[in-house]
Formats: sequence, structure tokens, C-alpha cells
Amino acid sequence: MFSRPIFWQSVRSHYVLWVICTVVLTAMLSLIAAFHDPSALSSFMELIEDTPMAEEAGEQLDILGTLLGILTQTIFGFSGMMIAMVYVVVTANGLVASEIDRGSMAYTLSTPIKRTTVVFTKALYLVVSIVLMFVIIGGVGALTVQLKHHAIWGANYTDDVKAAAAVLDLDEAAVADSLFLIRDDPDAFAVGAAARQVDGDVYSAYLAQAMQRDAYAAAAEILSVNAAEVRRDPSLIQTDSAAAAAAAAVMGMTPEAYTVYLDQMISQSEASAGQQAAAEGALAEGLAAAAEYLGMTKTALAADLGILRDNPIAMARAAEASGLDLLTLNYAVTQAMAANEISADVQVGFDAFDYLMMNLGFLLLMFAVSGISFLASCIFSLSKFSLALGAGLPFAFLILNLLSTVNETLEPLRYFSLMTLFDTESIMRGDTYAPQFVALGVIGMILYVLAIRVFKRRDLPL
Amino acid sequence: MSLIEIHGLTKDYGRGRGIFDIHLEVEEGESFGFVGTNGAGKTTTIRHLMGFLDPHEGSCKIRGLDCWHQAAEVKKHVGYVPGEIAFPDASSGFAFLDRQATMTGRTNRRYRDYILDKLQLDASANLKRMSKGMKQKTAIVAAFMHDPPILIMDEPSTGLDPLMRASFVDLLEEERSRGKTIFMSSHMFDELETTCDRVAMIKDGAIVDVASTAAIRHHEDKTYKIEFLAGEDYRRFLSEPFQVSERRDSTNQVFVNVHDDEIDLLVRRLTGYRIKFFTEIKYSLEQYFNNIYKREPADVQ
Repeated sequence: MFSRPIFWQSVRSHYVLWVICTVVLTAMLSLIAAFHDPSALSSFMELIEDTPMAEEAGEQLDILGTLLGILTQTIFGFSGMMIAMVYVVVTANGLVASEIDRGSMAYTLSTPIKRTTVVFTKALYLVVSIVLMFVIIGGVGALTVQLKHHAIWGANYTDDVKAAAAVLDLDEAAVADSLFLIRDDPDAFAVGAAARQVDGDVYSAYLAQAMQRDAYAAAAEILSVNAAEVRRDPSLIQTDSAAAAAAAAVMGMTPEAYTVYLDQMISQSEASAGQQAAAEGALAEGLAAAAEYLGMTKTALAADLGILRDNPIAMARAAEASGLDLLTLNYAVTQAMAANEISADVQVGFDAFDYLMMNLGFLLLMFAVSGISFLASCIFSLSKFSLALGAGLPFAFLILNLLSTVNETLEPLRYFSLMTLFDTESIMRGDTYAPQFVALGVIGMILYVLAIRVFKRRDLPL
Repeated sequence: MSLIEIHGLTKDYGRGRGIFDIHLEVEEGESFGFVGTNGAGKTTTIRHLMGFLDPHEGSCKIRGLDCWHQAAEVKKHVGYVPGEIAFPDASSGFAFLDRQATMTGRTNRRYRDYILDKLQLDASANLKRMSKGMKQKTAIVAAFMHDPPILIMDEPSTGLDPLMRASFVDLLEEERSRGKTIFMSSHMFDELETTCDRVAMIKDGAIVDVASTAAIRHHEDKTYKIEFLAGEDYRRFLSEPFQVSERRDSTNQVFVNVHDDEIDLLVRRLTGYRIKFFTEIKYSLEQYFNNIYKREPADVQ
């Protein structure tokens, strides 16, 4: 079934394109991962947070804005598929049809090697080369994410956690998971604030916000929902005692105390929903006035609110413009500064399992595509016909898939595209994708088996 | 049992194209030629022998093995020179020959070098930059180097210059003397006449005739061309009891068909004439087949 000389001959004839496509895809993935800036996105999210867009775009951005989300738009999207398909399509054609077309297959088949062995070995080369391509792309990509963002294993602790852990003589991980330890220890608190280069007020506000963030995240994980959903509707935590317990642990409370706290918070925020929006609007106006006084743009000032808080005249101008009293304004600014710290903290959200599944799905898709091309290559004696089907069909699928995303009228086109079976959004949302993966694998298998049978029985003009 | 048996082989490509009901038998150690114009069906027949084509009807066997169903087994005994020269990717002639040797599973370096030397081929050259003749030689070496008992060649001498063609014919003679069975096609009669024991002519997918080259060489009916010095001699000769196949009054030339038994009589009679020249027209394979063509045009279809 396997012929070593034929395998190596295939490697020799096709490795150049393999190397090019692998390098291009690997470089693309690594560069995107290395230059991904998570805080840029969180700033954008803040920018639109109070606009009507937020509700609609928020969920979308939670998914698409992450590193993985960006990868689905590039590597695991149109451009990545395009490049991988060039290799698959050209190589599948070159392995069989072009050798028949040129006539060089005669030299292979004039030896006592069985046709089945010839075609099986060539199919094996194609599959192995595709698998290897994705192992390299996926592996180097994961390595880049790890080296740059520590997002796969280990954690990249913030400076204040590191400093506080040293003072508390505790493990950094333990401190990061229980920020209240810093809050409750004056020494740790002092070094933490110093490490973060903020004053006590801001740091205190920051710790409170950070704990809430972590509590929601912990609860969200147990509820298996997105953290953003919990943030929008904290009452979700109350539906599950385990989630409440996890969140309570992060806050350093007993579950009972946390439930009470949560109740209070929910009723408060319900009552003050309108008030808060008004306050935020007022703050924005105040900010504009202060920025004008300080001769800065509003955005620049928003990014560095310390300037405003340390300047009494600017504060007075802001208070005047916003109609808030100084105390309230000061509180609001402090909270905003803490929020800035929070967004600077944003770690690269990267689900290693989802990433693995993306690579697997992409691999399976290319396996199925290569099945089409390989079958075409085994059917036709002329390269042009083999390419017409073996390249035409996969690229048509790709175009259909692209068109289906343009608008709703074209959306049904996706049901005519093989690419639909590799649904990156389902992977990220945690929806069902296993059956599609199995389908891709089965389609690929069937096509390869067909290709081998066709080649075994066909007439060859050699 | 013959070494190569082609039995009722039919491959109908429609519109009269293909091969139809071909019967051929080639004995062990025999050298068999296959002649015909382009598109007559030579290559199609050879492709069946190599197991590249599945016959619509009939079968071909080599050493009792079915060429289609036992193709891989058959090729253990066969060396093949394809009609078209297109090599697989290889950096040099040697790289290609090594590849073929590994895939054939048999290597006889000394014999390979002997053939390389015989054909004066420098196989270290880049395959893609080789001239047509060099490529053809490389293909021949690839087919011969593992010393297979059967050689199947589709127009093996195309692209070879006349000198090289002579060395190739030499090589074929050697292979024959070593007991090889040869099955080769060509569109050149003279080449097959010198190298083959028997030659089959194929036209429009059907075998017209199979001729033994020995019989043709030793053909007993001969044709002589005679030119007389004077017109009166010429006219007088026409009354002699010889079969005149053609006469040329303007040049005083006659063509007479004479069986070997009558040659003495002819020479005696000619003593009474003044002759400008007297020459034997050699009977060739080409003439033989041309005669058949002319005689049975209906059969050819």
C-alpha cells in the first residue's frame, strides 16, 4: 500500500509550495498574535459603551474583538483559507492529473508498483503534508501567544500583585485570585498602589472594580456563559449556588454575605439606572470643559484623568460645566481612573481549547477540500479539467461563503458552501460544532476512497 | 503458449477510432515490429500491454498474466519506453535513473553503465535541458538497465540521429542474441526490417498483415529493371516470354518480374541484346505492405 520512493518523490516535487504556504500562514498568525493589543479593544468598548450600539455590537465584539476572534477573520477566515487552498489545490493536481497529462506517470507505472500503492502513497503525502502544515502553524501560533501574552499557561501578573505578594509573602497566583488580601493589608496596599503608580483612593476603587470583574468571571465560568452577560445581569449569579460561592470566594465574603451584597447592588443599580446615565453624561460635559481649559483634547484627558484631579481650577471648571458638586465629581473621576486601570489590565483573552478546535476544524476543512481536488486529479487526464473541478469547486465554495456574509438575502448561499461546516463562531460561542467536524472528516474520507478507486480502474493515456 | 498473446483486443473510442479485434502472438526470444501510420492504433495496443488501458473486449497476456488485472506482476518482466518523453521531476539523468532503479527494485549498475556507454549518454546532465535525443536515450536506458526479459517500446528511435539510431539497432541486436523478447512500434519500415523477425502492420485499428522479414529478404520473386541501348532491342525484348510489370517507351526501360528459377533463362536471353544497365529492385517490407494495401483496400477498413 505504501511506497517510500513515491512518497519522497512527492515530497521533492511539492515541498517548495508547501514551505511557502506554511511560512506565510505561520508568519501571518504569529504577527497578528504578537501585535495584538487587548487594551485597544477595551478602550473601544468603553467608547461605545453608552451608545445604542453597545447592546448590539457588544456581544459581537466580545467574540470578534478577542485575539481568537481576530484570527477567525484572518487565518481561520477568507485569507487563511485562500492561502491554504492554493497549496491543497495545486498539489492535488500536481500529484496525479498533471503527471498523467505530461506523461511522466508512465515511468512510475512501468515499474512493478501497483496502481493502488501509487495513488494511496500520493494521497497519504497530501494528507500528511496538510496535517504537518497545521501542526506547524498552530504550534508556532500558540507559542507566540504564550511568549507574548502568557495566555495559554502560567499567568502574567500585574506589577501591584507581584509587589503585594512579596510583602504578604504569598504566592502571586493566590494573591491575584484574592485581591481582598491586598485591600485588607495596609503594607500590601501601599506597595500595590505604588507599583501601579496611583494614589490610595484610585487604588482602592481599582481593587473593588477588579474584584467585581473577577467575581463575575468566576461565576460566568460556572454558569458557562460569557462574563459580559453576567456583567449586564448580575442576578444570573443568584440562579446557581455554586456560581455565587465562586464569586463570593473572589470577593473574600461568605456566600450568604455575598448574596446579600449582590441583592443590594442589584436593587441599587435598578433604582439609580437613570441617575447613573445622567451622571455619566454630566461627567462627559465636565470633561469637555476641563479639557478646553487645559488645552488638551477630550480623549487625551480621558486617558490621563490624574491631570484633571490634581488641578483644582480644572476640577472647578468641570464641576461648573457638569453641574455636579466637587465631591461627587471627585468620586466619579476616581472611579473613572480606576476603570482606566482595569482596562489597562485586560489580559489577552485566549481560550486554548477553542484555538485547538479552530486549528482542527481548519485542518478538517482542508482535508475535505483536498479530497475534492484529489478526486478531480484522479478522474481527469488533463490538468486543465482537473483544475477546473479540483480548484474551481473549492474556490466557488469560498466565494459563496464570503457572499453569504454580505447581507441577509445572500445568506442562504452558505448552505451551498463546504466552508459552512467550519463555523468559527460556533466554536467561540461554545455552540455545537462536533457534528460538522465529523461531517468534514467523513466527506474527506469518502472523497479519498473514491479517488483511489477511480484511479485504480481508469484508463491511462501513458 | 506464446510469451505475448493478444486476443480479440478491442478498444472502441467511437467514430471509428480505436483498435478492433487485434490478434497477435509473440514467441519468447522473438523480435516483433509494429508498423502503421500515426493514429493507426500502435500506441493504444502497447498501452494495453502495459496495463494502462482496460480492453473493451478481448485480452492481452504476457507470460500468461493478464495485462490489466495483473499489471503490477507483468511489469516485473517488462522494460518500457513510452511514446512520449516526459520525465518526472529529477535533478539529473542519474537522479532519474536511480529513482527508476529504486522503484523497479532491481539494480544492475554495471549493465546500466554499459548501456550508457553504448548510447554515449552523459546522464549527469540536467533532465530538463536535455535535447530530444538525449531524453530518448535516457528513456531507453531506463527501460533496459534492469535487464528485463521483455522490452516493449513505442517508437523508441524517434529523436535519435542516424548514427545513434545505428548504435541503438546494434544494442537491439545484442539484446536479441541474449534471448530477449522485443515488441516495438515504428512508423519506419526499414528500421523494423533490420531489427525484427516479424512485423505486423496496423491500419485504422486493425491488423492488415503480419510479415516475416526473413521471408521478405529471401523473397523468390524478384523484379529487375533493364534499360536497352536501342529502341529496336527494347521493342524486340517485349516479345520475350517474361512478365513485364512496367514499360517505359521513352527511355527504353522495362521492369520484369522473374522467379529465382527463371533467372538463368533471363540472363541467357539478354545476351542477345545491347544493354545499358541491369539492376535488381530490392524487395522491401514497405513494398510488401504497399502491395497488400493496393490489393485489399476493402479488408483494411
